[in-house]
Amino acid sequence: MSRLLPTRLLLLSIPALLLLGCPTGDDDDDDTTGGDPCETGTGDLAVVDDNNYDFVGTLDISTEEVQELTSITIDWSGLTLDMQGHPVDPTEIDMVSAVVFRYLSEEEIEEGLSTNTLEQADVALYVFAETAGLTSIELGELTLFGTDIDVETYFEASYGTWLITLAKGTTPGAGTVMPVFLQPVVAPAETTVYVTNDSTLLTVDANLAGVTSLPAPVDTPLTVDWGDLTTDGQGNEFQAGDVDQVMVGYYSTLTATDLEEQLLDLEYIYDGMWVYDLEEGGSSLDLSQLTDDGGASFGGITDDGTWILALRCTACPNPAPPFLTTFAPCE
Amino acid sequence: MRTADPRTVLRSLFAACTLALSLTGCPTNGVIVADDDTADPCDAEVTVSPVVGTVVTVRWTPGVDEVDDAWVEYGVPGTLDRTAPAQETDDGQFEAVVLGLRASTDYALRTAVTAGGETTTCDVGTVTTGPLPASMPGFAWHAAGAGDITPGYMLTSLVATPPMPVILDTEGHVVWWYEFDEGHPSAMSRLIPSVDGRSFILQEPSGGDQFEDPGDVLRVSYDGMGTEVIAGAESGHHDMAELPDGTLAIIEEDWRDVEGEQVAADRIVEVQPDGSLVEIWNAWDHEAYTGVADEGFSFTHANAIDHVEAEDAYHVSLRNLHTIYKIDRASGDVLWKLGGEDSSFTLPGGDTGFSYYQHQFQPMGDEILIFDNGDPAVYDSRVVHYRLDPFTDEAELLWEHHSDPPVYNYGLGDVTRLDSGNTLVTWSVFGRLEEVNPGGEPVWRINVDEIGAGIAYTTFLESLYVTPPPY
Repeated sequence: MSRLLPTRLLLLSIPALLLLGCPTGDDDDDDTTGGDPCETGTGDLAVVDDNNYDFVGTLDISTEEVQELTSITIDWSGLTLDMQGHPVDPTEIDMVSAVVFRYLSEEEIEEGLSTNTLEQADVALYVFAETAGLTSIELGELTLFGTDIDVETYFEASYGTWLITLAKGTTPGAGTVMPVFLQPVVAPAETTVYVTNDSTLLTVDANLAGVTSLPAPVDTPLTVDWGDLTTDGQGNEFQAGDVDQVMVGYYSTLTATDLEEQLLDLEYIYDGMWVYDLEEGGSSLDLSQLTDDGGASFGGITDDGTWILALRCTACPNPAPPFLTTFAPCE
Repeated sequence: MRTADPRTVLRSLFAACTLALSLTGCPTNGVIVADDDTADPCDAEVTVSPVVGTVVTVRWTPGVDEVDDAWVEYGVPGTLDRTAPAQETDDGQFEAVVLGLRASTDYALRTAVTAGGETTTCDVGTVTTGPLPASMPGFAWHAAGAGDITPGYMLTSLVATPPMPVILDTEGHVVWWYEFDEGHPSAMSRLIPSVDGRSFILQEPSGGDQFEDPGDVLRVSYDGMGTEVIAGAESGHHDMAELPDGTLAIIEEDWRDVEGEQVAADRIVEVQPDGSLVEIWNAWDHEAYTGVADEGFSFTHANAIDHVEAEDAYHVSLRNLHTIYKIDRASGDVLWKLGGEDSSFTLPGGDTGFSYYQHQFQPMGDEILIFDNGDPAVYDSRVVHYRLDPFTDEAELLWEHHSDPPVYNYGLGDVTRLDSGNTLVTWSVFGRLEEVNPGGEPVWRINVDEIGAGIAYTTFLESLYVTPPPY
């Protein structure tokens, strides 16, 4: 018996493509920015490295000794804060994964997580389980995409460095709520590891106030092009393909200095926030496609408060955006 | 050869939007038309697939009778170094699906036909491909310098959530992909081009439950616009092979009651072009239940199948028995077994197995390449290349290749000997592809640049238009 899946509609019309959020282009030889936007008032913005903030994030992941070769219990019932200090409901942890790094030390893993530079090739073993509604799970319940590989039979220190990660969402590597290292030791030893608010300490040092703000005309539709960025906020090569969300935030009373001190709370302290998920990739965007929680489109900035523009990588382990700047409103 | 007058231009389907298109960089659908707007054999409709933005379909009416051949020539601007064959459609037009393009890239193309011994080519137009989807992970390509890169394409799938079948060129660029919607399969283990010249075929390794939802085999059109489950092949797992006549050979579990225990062994079933099912071979006829079940799988755990057209023989890998069978397709007779407790060949050192838990392999006459996953305790997966001597019944180890540093690839794994003499190795769980020279030195490597995405089996093709695939 054959069952046909829905055939997708052929979309030939340009208007339809635009409505679907086709990103604006970056490969054209034409000057799409049209000069200084504050002089021309065109709203065509092009960001450069000087507009980007500086960010240093440090992960300090604790290590818990547990009994080797055992299907230990991973318990997060006492978890109320994520590693960024935001409230979390332990029953809303969507996924628990165990990742084993054969040749990397704990320090190297912390560095790799901070800089988003870990690769699958570093991983000797990766198993996970979806855990919505649960607050504990046994190691042996974690599977390789549904295949039970008896992971507890690998659970020895000699196999590598073991990292347990609790996450929101089910995208591997993304949505990290709280990680903890496990150190398998010979029996008898603890057979339960408790993941708590203190399992990982994330410290952030950012410079947003010192960036070259992005000039932008007020009350004007804006487009932004980031095709010329070469360096991310951590000083690494800017990976345009990692950007999967564009965000504009408005803070009526907070300054850029205030924001850099609360960098991990930008999504909690705003007076206005508009986002757009870049499902089709690209390196430029018409910001009118950004919407707020109520579905209202972003219509432009005003000349009061502080406005920020963030290019985010929601699939990256590090929650800090690769690009973040402030707008410099102009008439 | 006659070349058409330089009187054609490329313009958008919607002329008023041409400027907007060039500014936005959206995929450029368009037409190549004669400038007098009259019907012309060089008029062509060019469509970038909205589903797979690197696939471009060109349709045109050549305007001559009895076309002997039709094709599209294409390449990066300034070159037309590749060709896509065209097929006649039901409405008398010709259609070519241009493959192997990189995302967000300009390409030049033109149509060409041969009729009555005369070849006519039209003027060159350009098209811009669409971007990669945001959900596509990055592929870090590293040139290692140990010899020339073997040009071609690698058809595989990301083992991730959701899975994403992809085709990469040997410089690490994604040239095709397919995104699953909600209710996606858990994984995809094999991607091959179909002999129909219009679609790819995908194998779901299993549905996660042996009784209710075994793995489907899906057919996806080149442009991603049409998808269907192939009837009769809904119960396969891990791997499949398509024969030149379109017959699809799948690996299927055959569940039986063994002293009150439900146990499966594997069999080869052909889904023939008329939809009928034919069992070719059944492991129950050759292997006794070991008494060791493999939860969720057959006790034999078949995981790879190849059909060798010249011999009309199947090869099938039984992971849990550390054995590869060669089977005569017509009779179902076992021609030989390599590895395991009843090997037809003596392996070097008197071993009964290559080592442990092998996955993909490549038969090459009296030789065979095998991805030998190996013993977890040893933590050193490898590729082995044997010559199988039919007179001495000995397997001679000609070549082996290990990762440096050693790795244990606990799932999947693939190997292909390329015409260049180099070898393509798929370290599946490490998200790594590499081409190595005969000395085992890497020519290049591709690493998935994030955690949580492995790579399934890999089919290498020098051209995406070569069917059936040579491996």
